[in-house]
This record gives sequence, C-alpha cells and structure tokens, in this order.
Amino acid sequence: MVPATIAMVAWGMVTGVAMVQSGLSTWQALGMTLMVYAGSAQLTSLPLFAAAAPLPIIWASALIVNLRFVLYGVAVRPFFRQFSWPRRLLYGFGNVDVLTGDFLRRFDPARLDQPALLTEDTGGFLQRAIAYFEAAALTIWSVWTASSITGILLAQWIPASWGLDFVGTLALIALLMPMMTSRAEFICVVVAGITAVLCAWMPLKLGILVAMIAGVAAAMMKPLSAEEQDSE
Amino acid sequence: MSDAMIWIGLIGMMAMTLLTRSGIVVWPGPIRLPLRLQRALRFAPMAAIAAVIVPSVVWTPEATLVSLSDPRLISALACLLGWWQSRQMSVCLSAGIVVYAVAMLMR
Repeated sequence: MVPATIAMVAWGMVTGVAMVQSGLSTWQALGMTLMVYAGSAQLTSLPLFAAAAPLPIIWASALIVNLRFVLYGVAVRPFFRQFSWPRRLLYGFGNVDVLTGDFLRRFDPARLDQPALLTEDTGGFLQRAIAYFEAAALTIWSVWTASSITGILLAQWIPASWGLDFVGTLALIALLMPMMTSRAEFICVVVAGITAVLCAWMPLKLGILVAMIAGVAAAMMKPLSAEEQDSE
Repeated sequence: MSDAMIWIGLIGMMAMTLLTRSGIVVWPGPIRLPLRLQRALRFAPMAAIAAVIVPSVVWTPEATLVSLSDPRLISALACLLGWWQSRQMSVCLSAGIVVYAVAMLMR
C-alpha cells in the first residue's frame, strides 16, 4: 500500500494541475475533486470540457470510464451485506482502483460463505476485513484529496502558455498502459484510438462514442481463452 | 462553456461515480453478471480513454494533423517508450512529463 500511496500523491497533483490548466476555475476544480472522486474520469473529461463538448457526451464518457468499478463493486459487496444502504453507498464511493485489488488479495470473499466451524473465526475475519477496508479507503481519500488540492493551488501560479493541461493526457496514457494485459485489450485500445481519429469530423464529439463502441466490439470478437471459458 | 454548465456537468459526473461505484454495492438483491457483460465492462473504460487521448495527441486545436516535432506527440511517444522499458506507470508518466517540458522549452 505504501508505494501506491506515494504514487498517488504525484497522481493527485498532476490531476489538480491539469484541471485548472484545462480551464476550470479553482472552485470548479475543487468541486470536481470532492464530488467526482474518480481520477481517470476527471482526466478524461478535461479535453471534453476544454472543447465545450455537449454535457451528455461528457457524462457518457465519465460513465463508461467508470464502468470497471461495477466489477470491483461485485467483488467487494459480500463484505457489506449487513449494513444499511447509506453506509453501503459510502463503502462503494471509497472503493477505488488502488484499494480493490489490494483488499481482495488480503481478504478472500469466498471465506465469507464457509461455515464458521471450518474456519473458526468467520466473524473475526469479517470484522478485520471491514476495519482494513475503512482505514485504507479513508487513507486513500485523504491522500488523493490533499494532493489534488495542492496541485490545484500550485496551478494558480503556472501560466497557461506552459501548456500543462496536456499533462492530464500524459497521465491518462500512463493509466491506460497497465490495462492492456492481453491481445484483446490491445486490439480494443488500438481500434478505439484509430476510430476516434477518423471520426473526429463528427459533430458534437459523437466520434468519441462511436470509437468506444468500435473498440469494445472489436475486443469482444476475439474468442475467449480456454481458461476464461472454464470459469464461466 | 458557462460556469453554470460546468457545474451541471460536474454534478452529472458525480452521479456517474455514485452509479458505478456505489450502485452495485447498495443494490440489495443477488447479482450475476454474464461473462460477456463482464468482459464488455472491462474493455469499455480503456476504449473510452483511448478514444479521448489519441485524437488529442494527433490533432491540433485547429483540426490539422500535428507535426512530428510537436511536443505533445513526442511526449506521448516518450510515455510509450517509458512503459515499454519499465512496465511501471510512474516511469511512463515521468518520461512523458520530462520530455514534454524539454520539448516545450525548446519550441
């Protein structure tokens, strides 16, 4: 968790600088950090805000970039079954990329369904899991928010002529690279990227939506590996 | 874009975060996502990110192709090289930022 936290400081600052340099006011950038709390969706929206894209396109992009969280939510939700919905809403809101993988490596959800007799401490396991999740989620939120705000404040002193809004795009490239874990993901990214360039002439930034659909469709055409078929 | 429009945009984006991150955790019933849907959910974010960044690297604001000496193109390539060499996000991002800064200064 510690190296991930240090990386997040740099990440939050880059996002803070990019938000302001892309044309958001200080208050809007603060609002975005606190309300949206999704770095990749924030960074993706910046070129769209700068180009005055229609709001539905901006919302659709944020939704699509965030879709991976649905999978993370499915993975962690068994731990929170006993809580009220407002509390589950908060747990969900805090369930960001850096947390889910780390949490699931430490706490296997399969253990929740084993009879207490076999594991001896199912209750203790659940409590430790929830305590860890809360502490980690709060730490990540604090570090991310503090470093974003630092970036936002620093950006006040940087002239727009330095072109630092582009740093947001560089950060997105760095986020994208580790997502490409196999050939299907690579095809998805290449097809979406090329389609977006070819469809840039479309009005209302619709080319971006066309490109997203093309990328996913191209990746889905690749048949499942034998391993994936077994897990179905 | 007017300030009010930007704020409405931000509120909508917050709704998207809550929907995707909290929606499935709040939902009370059992959930089974078919494998094909799971794959689509995994592919969609990277398609969206690629669809936004690739045009912003290769098209100028005046809608012409960037020149090969454009700081944006060079620094994006530096990111790819940094990732290819190290397989680390931090190296990938730092390489891009350093090359971008140098290219902007030499412009």
